[in-house]
Amino acid sequence: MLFGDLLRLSFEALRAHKLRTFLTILGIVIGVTSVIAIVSIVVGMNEKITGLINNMGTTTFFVSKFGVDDYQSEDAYREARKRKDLKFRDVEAIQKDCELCEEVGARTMTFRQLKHGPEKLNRVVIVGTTSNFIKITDFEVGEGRVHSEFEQDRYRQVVLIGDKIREELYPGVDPIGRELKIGIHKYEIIGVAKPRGSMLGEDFDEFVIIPITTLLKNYGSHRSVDIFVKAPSEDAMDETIDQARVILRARRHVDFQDQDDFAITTSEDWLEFYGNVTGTIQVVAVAIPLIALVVAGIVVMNIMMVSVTERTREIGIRKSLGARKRHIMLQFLAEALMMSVFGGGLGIAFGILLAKVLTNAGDLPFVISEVAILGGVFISTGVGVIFGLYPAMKGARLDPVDAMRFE
Amino acid sequence: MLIETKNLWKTYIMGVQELHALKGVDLQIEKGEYVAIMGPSGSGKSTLMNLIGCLDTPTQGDYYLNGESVSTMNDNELAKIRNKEIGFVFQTFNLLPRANSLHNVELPLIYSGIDTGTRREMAAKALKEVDLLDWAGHKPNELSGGQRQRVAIARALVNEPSLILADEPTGNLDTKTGLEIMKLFRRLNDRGNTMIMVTHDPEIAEFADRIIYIRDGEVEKEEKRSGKVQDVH
Repeated sequence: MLFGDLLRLSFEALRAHKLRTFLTILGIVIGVTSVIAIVSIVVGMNEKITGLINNMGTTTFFVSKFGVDDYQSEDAYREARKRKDLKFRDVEAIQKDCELCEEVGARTMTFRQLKHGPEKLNRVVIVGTTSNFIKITDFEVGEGRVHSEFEQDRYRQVVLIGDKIREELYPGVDPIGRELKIGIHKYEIIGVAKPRGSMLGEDFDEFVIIPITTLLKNYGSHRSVDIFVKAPSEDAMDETIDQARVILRARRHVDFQDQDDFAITTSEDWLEFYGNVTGTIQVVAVAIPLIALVVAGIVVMNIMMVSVTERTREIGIRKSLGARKRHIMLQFLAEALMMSVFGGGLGIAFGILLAKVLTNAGDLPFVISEVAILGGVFISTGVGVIFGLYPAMKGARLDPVDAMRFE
Repeated sequence: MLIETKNLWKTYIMGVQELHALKGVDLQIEKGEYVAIMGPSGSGKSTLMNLIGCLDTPTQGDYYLNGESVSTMNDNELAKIRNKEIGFVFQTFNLLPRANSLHNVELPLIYSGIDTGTRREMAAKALKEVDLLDWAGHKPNELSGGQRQRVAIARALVNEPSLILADEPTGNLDTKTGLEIMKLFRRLNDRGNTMIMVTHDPEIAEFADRIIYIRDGEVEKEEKRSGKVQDVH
């Protein structure tokens, strides 16, 4: 039997029952579409978050009052809250005593109202940083500059604003050199950040950056600062972390047998934390559409059973004319495969479309995941073979005499 | 010798009971013969036809087709024999309802793996032999009973088999149409085709050159004929 005959035969059989074929294919389309869409979203989200975390660099680590572990449970968080705050003096001490530390910076934040003329913005995040943070993170300035060490040392009231702030408060004008009121204090704008976009409704451009010293002076120094340290190289990370830890333990009088009363976090820890938090959700998110695919497979099987029963006589006739088991089996298997592969193809197309729409809506990067597409092809073909095999075998095994007698 | 059976038995197990449909049938049919197998219903003639047609295998005994032992063949080998050596004509025509005449005639060739072009030619030639070339594009439900049976005969002829096996070929046809089919059979036999026809109708059986009577799973008697057949010419 020629391959072309097989295809034509299956196609004709499917065409003879258009609605039935359509509904069966629809099931597979829905299954594959949802798998592709969800995998694409998950991959896009991972990519974005991994990107964000990696932005802090693999040679940078954070020292802070709370570490990722302290967010794992309420008890851990409550315990961690009792710790002493990290002070700006600690930053200076590490700067002075840690020989391996290439850059030591700090950051803290608060929320205040912004005002420019009659325009206001409530609860904007005010980030106070050391001037060297730009060397440690991948922060990019769009126009102007960030504050200098000189300004930081003199508690200058200078500010770099996020793109969203420029849009809201200074539409159509160059904000640099203009005044911005943060709370009750007046600042001079010296720079605008490069737009960073948003993700899942969270705007990354709504912030202002001022010298950390100014923040502590104007908005209260009873807050813990996050310290960030850049190690000379990835290999030197552990040693650098140790140096910083020893300095802090000494300053905070931690007994040698006690655990650190502060947390040191690397980008790796953040990735791990992210993975822990979202891993299960990701698995479930992908597993649910897979169930839909299994259901679609059962539909294929059901329809193929009906098809075999309906065509018992045809099978008998074909066998009497010389069709072998293999021919009959291939005929029905090709039918199941044709539906599932066609449905899979459509599902991949729709899945990519849906993923594009959803990632757009969620401000996620649109990633066409090869894994998802290959998976879609593989799974839909697999569904066709697995769920088509039994009905096909059942048809192939029919006895020609009995089959021809079937009414 | 085209067909030779030796002590052919076919036993069906019905629950705990054994039912002997054939009890040691010995047959010899030469190439080019026109044989009718006759018997009342339940005589075992259909079972015999299924065995001769390689649709089924005997419980016991030997069956040689063209000198080859068929009784020991597996499913695939039997399918090949059916495809190449036997052309079936059934009482109920057994055409595929959704396929046109040409495609129905083509079917055995599909399973021989013959390419589309050659297949079309061969099928058209077979349809021409039964005077139905003009109806090649029509589906069975657009044809009369006689025409359908002629399509089935064309299908039986198309692979140039060693024998044509007909099971009550006129059973679903009126007398006049039945007669036409018998004329066609005669013509095919005259051209050298071996014809075996299973029937319960004595009038139809008389068109054959030899009648084998089956009763209760055994050959009751045989009869050579050479008279009436000439009448149909």
